[in-house]
Amino acid sequence: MARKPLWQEIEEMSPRERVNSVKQHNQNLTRFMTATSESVDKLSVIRKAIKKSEKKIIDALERDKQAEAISEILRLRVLRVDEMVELSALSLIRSNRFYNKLVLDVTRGIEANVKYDAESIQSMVPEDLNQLLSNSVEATDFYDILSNYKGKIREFVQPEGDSE
Amino acid sequence: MIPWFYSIEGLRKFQKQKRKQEKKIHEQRDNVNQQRMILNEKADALKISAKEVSRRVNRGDKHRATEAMMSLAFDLQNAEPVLTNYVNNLLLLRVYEIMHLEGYVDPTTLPEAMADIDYGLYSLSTEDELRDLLRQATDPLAIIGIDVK
Repeated sequence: MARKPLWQEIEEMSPRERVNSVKQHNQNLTRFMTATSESVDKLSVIRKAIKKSEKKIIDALERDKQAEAISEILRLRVLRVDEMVELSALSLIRSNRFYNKLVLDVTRGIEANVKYDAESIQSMVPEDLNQLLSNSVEATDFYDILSNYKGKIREFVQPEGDSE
Repeated sequence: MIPWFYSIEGLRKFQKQKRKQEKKIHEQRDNVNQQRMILNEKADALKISAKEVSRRVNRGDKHRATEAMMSLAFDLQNAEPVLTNYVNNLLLLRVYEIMHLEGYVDPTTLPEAMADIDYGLYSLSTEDELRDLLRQATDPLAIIGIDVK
Protein backbone atom coordinates (compact mmCIF):
# COMPACT_ATOMS: atom_id res chain seq x y z
CA MET A 1 0.00 0.00 0.00
CA ALA A 2 1.34 3.43 -0.95
CA ARG A 3 2.43 5.67 1.88
CA LYS A 4 0.23 8.64 2.72
CA PRO A 5 1.60 11.99 1.55
CA LEU A 6 3.63 13.76 4.23
CA TRP A 7 1.25 16.71 4.66
CA GLN A 8 -1.71 14.38 5.02
CA GLU A 9 0.06 12.35 7.71
CA ILE A 10 0.75 15.54 9.65
CA GLU A 11 -2.76 16.96 9.14
CA GLU A 12 -4.28 13.77 10.54
CA MET A 13 -2.15 13.82 13.72
CA SER A 14 -3.80 14.73 17.02
CA PRO A 15 -2.34 17.86 18.71
CA ARG A 16 -0.48 15.63 21.17
CA GLU A 17 0.95 13.43 18.40
CA ARG A 18 2.03 16.56 16.58
CA VAL A 19 3.87 17.93 19.64
CA ASN A 20 5.67 14.59 20.07
CA SER A 21 6.50 14.46 16.38
CA VAL A 22 7.99 17.98 16.45
CA LYS A 23 10.07 17.10 19.50
CA GLN A 24 11.32 13.89 17.87
CA HIS A 25 12.16 15.52 14.53
CA ASN A 26 13.93 18.39 16.27
CA GLN A 27 16.17 15.91 18.09
CA ASN A 28 16.79 13.98 14.88
CA LEU A 29 17.58 17.19 13.03
CA THR A 30 20.22 18.08 15.63
CA ARG A 31 21.77 14.60 15.36
CA PHE A 32 21.96 14.79 11.58
CA MET A 33 23.33 18.36 11.67
CA THR A 34 26.15 17.12 13.93
CA ALA A 35 26.73 14.15 11.62
CA THR A 36 26.85 16.54 8.63
CA SER A 37 29.44 18.66 10.34
CA GLU A 38 31.58 15.61 11.19
CA SER A 39 31.35 14.34 7.63
CA VAL A 40 32.35 17.73 6.21
CA ASP A 41 35.36 17.81 8.58
CA LYS A 42 36.34 14.32 7.42
CA LEU A 43 36.07 15.41 3.77
CA SER A 44 38.24 18.40 4.46
CA VAL A 45 40.98 16.18 5.95
CA ILE A 46 40.76 13.81 2.96
CA ARG A 47 40.97 16.70 0.48
CA LYS A 48 44.05 18.09 2.20
CA ALA A 49 45.67 14.65 1.95
CA ILE A 50 44.71 14.46 -1.74
CA LYS A 51 46.37 17.82 -2.42
CA LYS A 52 49.50 16.67 -0.58
CA SER A 53 49.61 13.41 -2.54
CA GLU A 54 49.08 15.21 -5.86
CA LYS A 55 51.85 17.63 -4.99
CA LYS A 56 54.19 14.67 -4.31
CA ILE A 57 53.34 13.28 -7.74
CA ILE A 58 53.89 16.58 -9.50
CA ASP A 59 57.15 17.21 -7.64
CA ALA A 60 58.39 13.72 -8.56
CA LEU A 61 57.47 14.27 -12.21
CA GLU A 62 59.16 17.67 -12.24
CA ARG A 63 62.32 16.01 -10.91
CA ASP A 64 62.05 13.32 -13.60
CA LYS A 65 61.32 10.66 -10.95
CA GLN A 66 58.49 9.13 -12.94
CA ALA A 67 58.54 5.79 -11.13
CA GLU A 68 58.19 7.54 -7.79
CA ALA A 69 55.26 9.49 -9.21
CA ILE A 70 53.52 6.29 -10.27
CA SER A 71 54.26 4.65 -6.92
CA GLU A 72 52.33 7.43 -5.18
CA ILE A 73 49.31 6.74 -7.39
CA LEU A 74 47.95 3.95 -5.19
CA ARG A 75 47.92 6.24 -2.18
CA LEU A 76 46.14 8.91 -4.22
CA ARG A 77 43.65 6.36 -5.50
CA VAL A 78 42.76 5.21 -1.98
CA LEU A 79 42.28 8.83 -0.95
CA ARG A 80 40.03 9.50 -3.95
CA VAL A 81 37.98 6.42 -3.02
CA ASP A 82 37.74 7.73 0.56
CA GLU A 83 36.50 11.03 -0.85
CA MET A 84 33.85 9.39 -3.07
CA VAL A 85 32.57 7.22 -0.23
CA GLU A 86 32.44 10.14 2.18
CA LEU A 87 30.61 12.29 -0.38
CA SER A 88 28.08 9.49 -0.79
CA ALA A 89 27.76 9.11 2.99
CA LEU A 90 27.28 12.86 3.29
CA SER A 91 24.40 12.72 0.82
CA LEU A 92 22.67 10.08 2.97
CA ILE A 93 23.16 12.17 6.10
CA ARG A 94 22.03 15.29 4.26
CA SER A 95 18.84 13.65 2.99
CA ASN A 96 17.95 12.63 6.56
CA ARG A 97 18.73 16.11 7.83
CA PHE A 98 16.58 17.61 5.11
CA TYR A 99 13.75 15.16 5.78
CA ASN A 100 13.53 16.18 9.43
CA LYS A 101 13.63 19.85 8.45
CA LEU A 102 10.90 19.24 5.87
CA VAL A 103 8.63 17.58 8.44
CA LEU A 104 9.17 20.48 10.88
CA ASP A 105 8.54 23.15 8.21
CA VAL A 106 5.43 21.42 6.90
CA THR A 107 4.09 20.93 10.45
CA ARG A 108 4.61 24.62 11.15
CA GLY A 109 2.90 25.51 7.86
CA ILE A 110 -0.08 23.26 8.58
CA GLU A 111 -0.48 24.87 12.01
CA ALA A 112 -0.57 28.23 10.25
CA ASN A 113 -3.24 26.85 7.88
CA VAL A 114 -0.98 26.57 4.83
CA LYS A 115 -2.34 24.08 2.26
CA TYR A 116 0.18 21.67 0.83
CA ASP A 117 0.08 19.34 -2.15
CA ALA A 118 2.57 17.10 -3.99
CA GLU A 119 3.79 20.01 -6.12
CA SER A 120 4.42 22.39 -3.23
CA ILE A 121 6.27 19.69 -1.28
CA GLN A 122 8.35 18.89 -4.36
CA SER A 123 9.28 22.55 -4.71
CA MET A 124 10.64 22.49 -1.14
CA VAL A 125 13.28 19.88 -2.05
CA PRO A 126 16.49 21.73 -2.90
CA GLU A 127 17.71 21.03 -6.43
CA ASP A 128 21.21 20.52 -5.02
CA LEU A 129 20.13 17.32 -3.30
CA ASN A 130 19.40 15.77 -6.69
CA GLN A 131 22.48 16.95 -8.53
CA LEU A 132 25.28 17.40 -6.09
CA LEU A 133 27.08 14.11 -6.48
CA SER A 134 26.58 12.88 -10.03
CA ASN A 135 29.11 15.22 -11.49
CA SER A 136 31.79 14.66 -8.90
CA VAL A 137 31.48 10.88 -9.00
CA GLU A 138 31.27 10.63 -12.78
CA ALA A 139 34.09 13.09 -13.27
CA THR A 140 36.40 11.17 -10.98
CA ASP A 141 39.52 10.54 -12.94
CA PHE A 142 42.05 9.07 -10.58
CA TYR A 143 44.86 9.58 -12.98
CA ASP A 144 44.08 12.95 -14.55
CA ILE A 145 47.25 14.18 -13.01
CA LEU A 146 49.25 11.68 -15.06
CA SER A 147 47.73 12.66 -18.38
CA ASN A 148 49.33 16.09 -18.10
CA TYR A 149 52.68 14.38 -18.06
CA LYS A 150 51.82 11.77 -20.66
CA GLY A 151 54.66 12.69 -23.01
CA LYS A 152 57.33 12.60 -20.34
CA ILE A 153 56.31 9.28 -18.82
CA ARG A 154 55.72 7.66 -22.19
CA GLU A 155 59.19 8.63 -23.29
CA PHE A 156 60.59 6.92 -20.22
CA VAL A 157 58.72 3.64 -20.59
CA GLN A 158 59.15 3.21 -24.33
CA PRO A 159 59.04 -0.48 -25.18
CA GLU A 160 62.34 -2.25 -25.40
CA GLY A 161 64.34 -1.34 -28.49
CA ASP A 162 62.51 1.94 -29.15
CA SER A 163 64.25 3.65 -26.29
CA GLU A 164 67.78 2.73 -27.10
CA MET B 1 14.60 3.74 -7.61
CA ILE B 2 15.94 1.39 -4.96
CA PRO B 3 19.72 1.48 -5.20
CA TRP B 4 21.43 -1.94 -5.25
CA PHE B 5 23.08 -1.11 -1.97
CA TYR B 6 19.75 -1.15 -0.18
CA SER B 7 18.91 -4.54 -1.55
CA ILE B 8 21.89 -6.11 0.25
CA GLU B 9 20.57 -8.72 2.71
CA GLY B 10 23.13 -7.72 5.36
CA LEU B 11 21.75 -4.18 5.45
CA ARG B 12 18.19 -5.34 6.08
CA LYS B 13 19.43 -7.64 8.81
CA PHE B 14 21.45 -4.81 10.35
CA GLN B 15 18.40 -2.55 10.42
CA LYS B 16 16.38 -5.17 12.31
CA GLN B 17 19.06 -6.07 14.87
CA LYS B 18 19.24 -2.83 16.85
CA ARG B 19 21.09 -4.42 19.78
CA LYS B 20 23.82 -5.96 17.67
CA GLN B 21 24.51 -2.84 15.61
CA GLU B 22 27.48 -1.56 17.62
CA LYS B 23 29.21 -4.95 17.51
CA LYS B 24 28.63 -5.14 13.76
CA ILE B 25 30.05 -1.63 13.28
CA HIS B 26 33.18 -2.60 15.24
CA GLU B 27 33.65 -5.72 13.13
CA GLN B 28 33.16 -3.76 9.93
CA ARG B 29 35.58 -1.06 11.08
CA ASP B 30 38.18 -3.76 11.76
CA ASN B 31 37.72 -5.12 8.23
CA VAL B 32 38.17 -1.68 6.72
CA ASN B 33 41.23 -0.94 8.87
CA GLN B 34 42.88 -4.22 7.94
CA GLN B 35 42.29 -3.67 4.23
CA ARG B 36 43.52 -0.11 4.54
CA MET B 37 46.66 -1.43 6.22
CA ILE B 38 47.29 -3.82 3.31
CA LEU B 39 46.88 -0.93 0.86
CA ASN B 40 49.30 1.21 2.88
CA GLU B 41 51.83 -1.62 2.91
CA LYS B 42 51.46 -2.03 -0.85
CA ALA B 43 51.95 1.71 -1.31
CA ASP B 44 55.14 1.56 0.81
CA ALA B 45 56.40 -1.40 -1.21
CA LEU B 46 55.70 0.49 -4.46
CA LYS B 47 57.76 3.38 -3.18
CA ILE B 48 60.72 1.08 -2.52
CA SER B 49 60.40 -0.38 -6.04
CA ALA B 50 60.21 3.13 -7.48
CA LYS B 51 63.48 4.03 -5.79
CA GLU B 52 65.00 0.96 -7.40
CA VAL B 53 63.86 2.28 -10.80
CA SER B 54 65.41 5.67 -10.05
CA ARG B 55 68.70 4.00 -9.05
CA ARG B 56 68.79 2.07 -12.32
CA VAL B 57 68.09 5.23 -14.29
CA ASN B 58 70.83 7.13 -12.48
CA ARG B 59 73.26 4.35 -13.36
CA GLY B 60 72.20 4.58 -17.00
CA ASP B 61 70.80 1.04 -16.92
CA LYS B 62 67.71 1.92 -18.90
CA HIS B 63 66.91 -1.64 -19.93
CA ARG B 64 66.61 -2.83 -16.32
CA ALA B 65 64.91 0.42 -15.34
CA THR B 66 62.19 -0.24 -17.91
CA GLU B 67 61.72 -3.79 -16.58
CA ALA B 68 61.54 -2.50 -13.01
CA MET B 69 59.00 0.11 -14.12
CA MET B 70 56.85 -2.59 -15.71
CA SER B 71 56.83 -4.66 -12.53
CA LEU B 72 55.92 -1.53 -10.60
CA ALA B 73 52.92 -1.11 -12.91
CA PHE B 74 51.95 -4.76 -12.39
CA ASP B 75 52.20 -4.37 -8.62
CA LEU B 76 49.95 -1.36 -8.88
CA GLN B 77 47.37 -3.38 -10.80
CA ASN B 78 47.65 -6.27 -8.36
CA ALA B 79 46.40 -4.01 -5.58
CA GLU B 80 43.07 -3.78 -7.41
CA PRO B 81 41.16 -6.64 -5.70
CA VAL B 82 42.04 -5.26 -2.26
CA LEU B 83 40.99 -1.79 -3.35
CA THR B 84 37.62 -3.05 -4.68
CA ASN B 85 36.97 -4.86 -1.40
CA TYR B 86 38.04 -1.79 0.52
CA VAL B 87 35.50 0.38 -1.34
CA ASN B 88 32.67 -2.10 -0.70
CA ASN B 89 33.55 -2.45 2.97
CA LEU B 90 34.00 1.27 3.49
CA LEU B 91 30.61 1.94 1.85
CA LEU B 92 29.05 -0.64 4.15
CA LEU B 93 30.79 0.76 7.24
CA ARG B 94 29.61 4.31 6.56
CA VAL B 95 26.06 3.20 5.89
CA TYR B 96 26.07 1.14 9.14
CA GLU B 97 27.33 4.16 11.07
CA ILE B 98 24.64 6.38 9.56
CA MET B 99 21.88 3.81 10.09
CA HIS B 100 22.94 3.58 13.72
CA LEU B 101 22.06 7.25 14.24
CA GLU B 102 18.75 7.49 16.05
CA GLY B 103 16.00 8.70 13.75
CA TYR B 104 17.64 7.39 10.58
CA VAL B 105 15.19 7.02 7.70
CA ASP B 106 16.03 4.74 4.81
CA PRO B 107 16.06 6.46 1.38
CA THR B 108 13.44 3.98 0.18
CA THR B 109 10.97 5.21 2.79
CA LEU B 110 11.53 8.95 2.40
CA PRO B 111 8.61 11.00 0.95
CA GLU B 112 7.98 10.68 -2.78
CA ALA B 113 9.26 14.24 -3.31
CA MET B 114 12.72 13.08 -2.23
CA ALA B 115 12.83 10.09 -4.56
CA ASP B 116 15.39 11.59 -6.96
CA ILE B 117 18.11 12.38 -4.47
CA ASP B 118 21.59 11.60 -5.66
CA TYR B 119 23.37 9.30 -3.18
CA GLY B 120 26.57 9.06 -5.19
CA LEU B 121 27.97 5.53 -4.99
CA TYR B 122 24.89 4.41 -3.06
CA SER B 123 22.74 5.49 -6.03
CA LEU B 124 24.41 3.23 -8.56
CA SER B 125 21.74 0.84 -9.74
CA THR B 126 23.88 -2.29 -9.71
CA GLU B 127 27.05 -3.52 -8.10
CA ASP B 128 28.43 -3.93 -11.62
CA GLU B 129 28.18 -0.17 -12.11
CA LEU B 130 30.41 0.33 -9.10
CA ARG B 131 32.91 -2.19 -10.46
CA ASP B 132 32.83 -0.46 -13.86
CA LEU B 133 33.45 2.90 -12.25
CA LEU B 134 36.47 1.51 -10.43
CA ARG B 135 37.68 -0.46 -13.43
CA GLN B 136 37.81 2.70 -15.54
CA ALA B 137 40.69 3.84 -13.43
CA THR B 138 42.60 0.67 -12.76
CA ASP B 139 45.47 1.10 -15.12
CA PRO B 140 47.43 4.32 -14.87
CA LEU B 141 49.76 3.30 -17.65
CA ALA B 142 46.86 2.71 -20.04
CA ILE B 143 45.73 6.27 -19.37
CA ILE B 144 49.05 7.56 -20.56
CA GLY B 145 48.90 5.19 -23.53
CA ILE B 146 51.23 2.40 -22.44
CA ASP B 147 50.20 -1.24 -22.67
CA VAL B 148 52.15 -3.52 -20.36
CA LYS B 149 50.11 -6.66 -21.05
